[in-house]
Amino acid sequence: MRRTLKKILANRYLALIFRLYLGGLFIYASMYKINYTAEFAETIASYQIIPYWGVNLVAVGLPWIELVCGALLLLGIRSRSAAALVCFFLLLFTAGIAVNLIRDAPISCGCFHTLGEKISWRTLVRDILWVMMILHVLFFDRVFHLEQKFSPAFRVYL
Amino acid sequence: MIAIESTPIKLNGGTSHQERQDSSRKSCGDREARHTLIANLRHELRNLLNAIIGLSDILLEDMNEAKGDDPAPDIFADLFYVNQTGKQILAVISDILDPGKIEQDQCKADFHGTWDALHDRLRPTLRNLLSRAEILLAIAREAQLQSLIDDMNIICSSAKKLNTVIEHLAFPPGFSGMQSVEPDTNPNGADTVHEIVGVIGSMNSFSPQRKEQRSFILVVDDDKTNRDLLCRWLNREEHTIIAAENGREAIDLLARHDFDLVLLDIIMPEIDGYQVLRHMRSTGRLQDVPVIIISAFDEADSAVRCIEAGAEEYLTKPFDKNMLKARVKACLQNRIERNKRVRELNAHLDSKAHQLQMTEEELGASRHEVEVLEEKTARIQSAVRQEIEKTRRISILDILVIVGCGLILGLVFNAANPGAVKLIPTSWSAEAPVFSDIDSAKAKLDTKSALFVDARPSEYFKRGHIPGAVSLPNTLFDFIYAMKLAELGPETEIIVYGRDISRLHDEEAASRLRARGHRNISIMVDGLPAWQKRGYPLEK
Repeated sequence: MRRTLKKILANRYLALIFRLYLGGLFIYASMYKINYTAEFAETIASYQIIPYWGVNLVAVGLPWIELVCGALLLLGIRSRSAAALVCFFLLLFTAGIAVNLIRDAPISCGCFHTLGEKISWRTLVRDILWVMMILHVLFFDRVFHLEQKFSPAFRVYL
Repeated sequence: MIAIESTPIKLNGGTSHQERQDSSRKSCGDREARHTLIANLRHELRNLLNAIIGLSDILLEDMNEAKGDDPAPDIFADLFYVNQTGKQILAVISDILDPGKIEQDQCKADFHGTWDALHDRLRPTLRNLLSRAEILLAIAREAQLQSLIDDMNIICSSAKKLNTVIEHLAFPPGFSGMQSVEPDTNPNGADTVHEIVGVIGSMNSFSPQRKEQRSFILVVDDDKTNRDLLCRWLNREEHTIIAAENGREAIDLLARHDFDLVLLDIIMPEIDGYQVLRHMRSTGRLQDVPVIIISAFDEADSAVRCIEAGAEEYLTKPFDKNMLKARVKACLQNRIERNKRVRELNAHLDSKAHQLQMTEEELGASRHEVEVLEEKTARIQSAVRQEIEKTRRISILDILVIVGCGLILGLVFNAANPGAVKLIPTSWSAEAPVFSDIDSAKAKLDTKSALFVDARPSEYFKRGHIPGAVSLPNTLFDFIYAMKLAELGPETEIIVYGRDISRLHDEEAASRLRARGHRNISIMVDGLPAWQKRGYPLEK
């Protein structure tokens, strides 16, 4: 039973599902942020993590980095590096949410919509789940890497 | 005359006749010794008859060819008589000295019966032959036919020697042996090492074309008459002949020239025919040269021994000219066919060798190509492995590239976006903000001489704010300003707070208000937390 569970948890196709899910999620999340940069900057500032002078720069760059990471995860190109970066961002977001929850700061999550959803413990749990997913991707993701399909030579060594 | 008594006959086996007789007497029934003795005797007699029959054959053939011009028909008849008589004598000798017959008289070690028979049957015939030969010689001298004189001299000489041998064989018991019948010496006294008969030009000028047309034959015989006879017969067939008088000379000639055929006598001084034959068969270059043995030994053993040693044919002396010609022709034909076949095979081999060489070159080129391809494959494999490794590991470079790409895309998009945010805070380029402390702000609130603006996000405003303050978050700045603050005079004092969260919230708001023409703007130091700490009222 334990062995079966372990096998299921370590399944590379599960990692593929997580990878595709997170890739799509990040692409979706980046869309709103790209279109409403000023509001995202406000949200970033609300988190009180980024210094004042860097808020706008992060608000401009971060959504695009998320978009690139999401695309790479979906396509399976440099997916480990992208997953690592996504993992870093998720940890950062989780930490930010956790800190602001502790501060009892009444800020919105800013994950998908700048206005509306306020941060809560539920938000934190959700982010932690995403972190676990991305860790699974990091360790067990092996299949459907478009990068390895570019050349027949790659196929030989798969 | 030949000194019969003084010199015992030297038979070719290397043992004297006397010794052989003694040995034979002592070991009555010693077949081997008797056999050898008879064989040697027959050999000597046949050698002499070979000269008589062979030369008379040649002369008869010459006369036949020149039949129309023949000035002396008697000469032809005499020559024919000599030839036929020689053949009769040969038949008698073969009959009397037949090894089978002699074996029947086992203990006649002194061969009295045999010698008597030979003496009785041959003497009259031989005398007739001799007298007819001498007559012919005389006629030839009279007619001054030099070639006939030379040949008849040899025939007479051989006939006399034959007669002498036969006469002396009839002297038992005083007969102690026979003198060796010396080969006829050259009338000119020439003891040539070798003579070339009918050789056209020297050996060195032998052109391949000529060699192809004329066969090149080596005649080896210690007996000059036999040698001459063979050479003359073969020369008529338009062969090129070289003669050697012994085995040593033959080996020397064989080493220097390529012969098509060798006619080889067996019994010769120094090196005999067997040794020459063995030498030829053990020398790679000479292995294929056909050899015809021409020997006066007519025993089957000798023929078998020669054939086993590698001889093609075995002819006995006196040989039949037609048989000789036929055997020579057959051997040469075989040789030509074999050479032709060898040439064809060599050409085929050359072609195959060329093909092989081409194939080897192609293989070499292919091998090189394969090596290059393998090298390239190895490099590609290495690169692929590296790339795969890269995909399976977290690369700082990849992360930097992703971040860089994201930033570049973001910056480009932001630059092209009408609602772009300023990367550098506007407050940095604006004039330095004016600050007001908490207490003066409280005083102004009490006197209602200033408008308080809460620049924090609306969630913070909802949670608690200074009484009468207007929520003016940056994201809704334009909208709220138009709704609530548009009618404010430029001199109205405005106090902005929100710095406790981010300078973005108060400095940006102050900067934007200033941009709308408001001149009296200040920022409350330490923001709402300091206000609360003082216990000043909050409105929720």
